[in-house]
Amino acid sequence: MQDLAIEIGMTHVEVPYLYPILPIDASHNRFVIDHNRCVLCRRCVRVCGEIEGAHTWDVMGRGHKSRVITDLNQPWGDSESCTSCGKCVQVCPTGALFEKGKAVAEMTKRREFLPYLQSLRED
Amino acid sequence: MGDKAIMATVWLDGCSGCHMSFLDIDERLIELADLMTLAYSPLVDTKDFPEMADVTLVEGAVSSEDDLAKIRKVRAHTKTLVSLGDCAVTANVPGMRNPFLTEDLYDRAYIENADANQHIPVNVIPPLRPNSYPVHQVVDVDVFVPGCPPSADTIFYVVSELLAGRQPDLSGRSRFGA
Ligand code: SF4
Ligand code: SF4
Repeated sequence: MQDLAIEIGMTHVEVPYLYPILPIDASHNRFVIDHNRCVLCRRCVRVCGEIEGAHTWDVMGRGHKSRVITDLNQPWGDSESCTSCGKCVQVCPTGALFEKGKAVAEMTKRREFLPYLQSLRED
Repeated sequence: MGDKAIMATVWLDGCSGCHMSFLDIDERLIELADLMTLAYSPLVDTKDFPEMADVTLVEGAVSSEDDLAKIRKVRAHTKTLVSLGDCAVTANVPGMRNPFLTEDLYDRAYIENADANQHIPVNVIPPLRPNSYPVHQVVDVDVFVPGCPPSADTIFYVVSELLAGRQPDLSGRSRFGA
């Protein structure tokens, strides 16, 4: 995503930064969400709803107060809909979603299987 | 000197990595030296900023009163000001303190984590601004070169273009982060 920014010529941010302190939810036994890194692209919301069919993720709040939430804004670890499939972690472009015990740069992403699953659905 | 361009580099709140990357241009520095005079920089002895620099590279965020005074002066005496590296462009690592109060930072650094002589320094060390700011939030910036640090090739390209009187096109040439 950082490469994309440079490709389209975005070399800096004009608006002043806000520096909010956002929470980190590490209640899930395998995954963590660090809201400080989330850019609200909603890829997790889509993959979880449209491919996994669990619809654990959604968006709550408006404008700069928007955040992604799990279930009804409960800790991810308490979520009854999450199947722990890890698809959201695979598609997150910023490292906001990551596997426990691994640095973001260490994670190997295998996204090829997502269009594959999608095509099976369509057949 | 003669008709050579005047260049300067400034080091604000950064780790000096951008300056190291500038030095990593290696033997091409000799090529650049034919085109410009490095009139002011942490890398040279001169203590006074030139009357008017054609190009100034700034490394680091604006974090202290001293940084602020420096960058204002540099801006007034520079034609083309370049934000070099992520700290200058986004505040980057120095900016990580911004969610916290400066008093808390001073406390943490000089009282809580100090083994001896616990006190908050008032002399010599310039006072911190409430936040670390990207350079363009404080003064006008003409060229932005992201990267932590930007590669030697990128810096060489940018400086060469500017010295040739062209506007460098960064598309695809650098990236935020390492
Ligand atoms: S692990 Fe799977 S089921 Fe759980 S939130 Fe992520 S995509 Fe949805
Ligand atoms: S995929 Fe990652 S960056 Fe995008 S909304 Fe979900 S958590 Fe945020």
